[in-house]
Amino acid sequence: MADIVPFEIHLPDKLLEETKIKLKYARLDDGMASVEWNDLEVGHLKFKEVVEYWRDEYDWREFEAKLNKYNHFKTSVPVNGFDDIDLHFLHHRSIRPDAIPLIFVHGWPGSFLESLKIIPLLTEPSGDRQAFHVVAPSIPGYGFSGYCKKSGFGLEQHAECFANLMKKLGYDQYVCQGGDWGSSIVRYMALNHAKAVQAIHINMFLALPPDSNKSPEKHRRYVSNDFSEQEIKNLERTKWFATFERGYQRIQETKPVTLGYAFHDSPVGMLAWFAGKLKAWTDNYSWTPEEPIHWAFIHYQGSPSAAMQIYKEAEAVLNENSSSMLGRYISQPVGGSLFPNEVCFMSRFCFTYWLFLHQLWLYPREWMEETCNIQFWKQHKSGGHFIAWERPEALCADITEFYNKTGPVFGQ
Amino acid sequence: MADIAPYQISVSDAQIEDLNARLALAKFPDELDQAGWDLGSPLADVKRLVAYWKDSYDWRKAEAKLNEFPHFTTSIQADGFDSLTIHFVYRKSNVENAIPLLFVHGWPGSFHEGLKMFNKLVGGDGSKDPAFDVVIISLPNYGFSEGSKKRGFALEQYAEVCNKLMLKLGYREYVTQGGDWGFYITRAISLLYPQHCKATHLNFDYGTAPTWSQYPLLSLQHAIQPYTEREKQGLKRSKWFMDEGSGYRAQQSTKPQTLGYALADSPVALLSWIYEKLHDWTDNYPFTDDEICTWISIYWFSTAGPAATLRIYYEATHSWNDPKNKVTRERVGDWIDHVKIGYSHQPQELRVLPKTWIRKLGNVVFEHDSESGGHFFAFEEPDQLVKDVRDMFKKGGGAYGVITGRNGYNESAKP
Repeated sequence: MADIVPFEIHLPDKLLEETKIKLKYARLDDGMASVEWNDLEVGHLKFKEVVEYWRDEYDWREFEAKLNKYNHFKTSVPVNGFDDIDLHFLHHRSIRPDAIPLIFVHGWPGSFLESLKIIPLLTEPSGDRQAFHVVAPSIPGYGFSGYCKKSGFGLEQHAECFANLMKKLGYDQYVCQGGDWGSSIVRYMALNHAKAVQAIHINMFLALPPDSNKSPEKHRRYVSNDFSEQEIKNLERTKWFATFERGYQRIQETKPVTLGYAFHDSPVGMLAWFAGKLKAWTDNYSWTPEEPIHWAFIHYQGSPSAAMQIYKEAEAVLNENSSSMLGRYISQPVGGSLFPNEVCFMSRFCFTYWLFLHQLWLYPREWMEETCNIQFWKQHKSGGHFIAWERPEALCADITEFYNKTGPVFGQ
Repeated sequence: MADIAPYQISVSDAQIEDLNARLALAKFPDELDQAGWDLGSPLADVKRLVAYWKDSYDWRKAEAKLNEFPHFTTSIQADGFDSLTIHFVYRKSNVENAIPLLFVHGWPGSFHEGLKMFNKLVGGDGSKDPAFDVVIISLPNYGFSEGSKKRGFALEQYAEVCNKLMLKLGYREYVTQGGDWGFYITRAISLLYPQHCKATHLNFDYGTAPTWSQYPLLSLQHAIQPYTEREKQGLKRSKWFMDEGSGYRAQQSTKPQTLGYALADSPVALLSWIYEKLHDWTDNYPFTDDEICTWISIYWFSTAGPAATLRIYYEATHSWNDPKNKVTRERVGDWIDHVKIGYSHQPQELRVLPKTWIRKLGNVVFEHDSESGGHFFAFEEPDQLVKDVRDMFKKGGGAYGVITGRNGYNESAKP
């Protein structure tokens, strides 16, 4: 374990100074300042306030110090066919003797920040709730992790990277939790590293419509729009997402390089790209002025371009091929927590189905059951996409329920 | 005509210094090995262009060249919206019966695209070649025209502004030339003002397969005739555009402002965003660094700012699916009467469609398949486009004499 090195976050002064200068000279488009374009969700005036706050009051060093109260590490992780990844991760062990190792995987535009609120809840839970040792890596290209400059580093490689991390940390068996890209990465971990991954819990869901040959009854219900009320609500949410919210996804999965220059050169541009999503994808969460800046800056300081690469690479594995996770079956227990303001990610392939059939589709449980051994399925009445940040207690309650010693994974 | 004033482009020194200061602070990503063009503007190109733009490019020189053309501004108001200062380039031909022609650009184009053709079109001698009075408009939100500060400024409004400009210049009847949004806007003009707009020349393929119920002859033709080799290649190009090249418009049609902040704040962002199109949408046109910098600088220094240029995507797509509106996407792709259509087809256009699809737009009286050229045809091959337009309106051409009393010829020079 010699080369697992404790890591302290310290952004160079030069970067902080440069950012301040760029913010000072930010040219904010105000052509329709009196009009609230709802596409930015937060509105011009509000956005301007956040930019000014970042320029005048935001204190990165103060936040950095708070971040450094957590246990950060860096280590070199091999991935077959690629150079080793210089991986950043948090690692917090519980003092409870029966704690279960758990790896938490974030997505886009998230980061390891999403693990901060749940780490104490999982490592030091109240009462006799199940405790966990938590490992929270930065996906390669995010946070303080390095990344690969060779193309082809996709979801299966991310899964392999994290499986190798857990092995390096001495965890032969463990469980996973993931949302956004994390949900797909942990699914591949369960599929490709089945001996080590005992179970996974996810809060975002990707599925294909049921196949008419494999599951004729489900297929019949699908084509006749036979859904429950809640499923219909979920479908409406997906339709909203598909119609109004997918622009970023379409550009990120086709021309991320063209887009990336904007985020490397303009902190305002980076913040604007995130700000609307942070508001629209959560459920009435009161973002403080700092929080979107933390999120944007964690990306800005690294490589926003590298972070977007996952979209392009995912296309190679999210498709109709039998080797895709959408066609394989996870036999380990899978737990799902559905929060109403989730967005439903659709690969371009899945979207084609939607368009072609002029129908809505989302993730009725029985669709997910085609590819996952669903042993826990909870529909919540509130909460959104970044649930670990918005409502950490709600997520942790589900995690502990799913994984406790009397639950579907470890119970007799 | 009282408030039509001559105009000179005159960007302030402060704006130029500001641009250079931003370019000096430019920060760049790194790049995947062997990235090529697949994922977007290559790093080496962007770095080189940023350095050139900052250190070598001379905006004042470019500005002076642009100002060699006759620029004007005037106020035009679309109903329900504020009056806007509209910038345009305009010259009357020496030929008295010259045909009034309005050139309408798109995105990421500008008035600049029409300049290469301008002198030739105006300078038709009226005996061998028809002559034109040429108006090149900067659409609202582009170039040195103001932008709308109110929501809802959609295709009908762009068409209204164009029509009012031509009427203001004294042309009760006129013809148009357009591609990209210029296609949609001139189709809207055809729909809304058939008493004024008598012919449209288009260089942007658009349409869907003709249905049996609506266009039985074309539909039959489409069913029977196999696609030519050109049409097959064209469908491949069209598919590329839909699958790989449409991210920008998915974004711009739904969240223009989310992107707009980046384009307004970072000239590097703007450069990359547009440069990719200059490459992907043309037929290997050998852009010089000066041409690229002038193209992007017009966007950077534009009156309404770069973010405003995206709004047409949002406004048009949010209004054109509403069947209550006159100008809908469907309507624009269907037969429009009374307006003669001329078409130039380029192999590297974004959509290259079978001929039977195009011909349902209306009475197509002129067509030419170019061997080369792409989306920015007026910039890439101005001489060919001038020839096509002349061929459409010349004696014996499909749209000859379409304007009452103005056939483009010196009647006294008639043989």
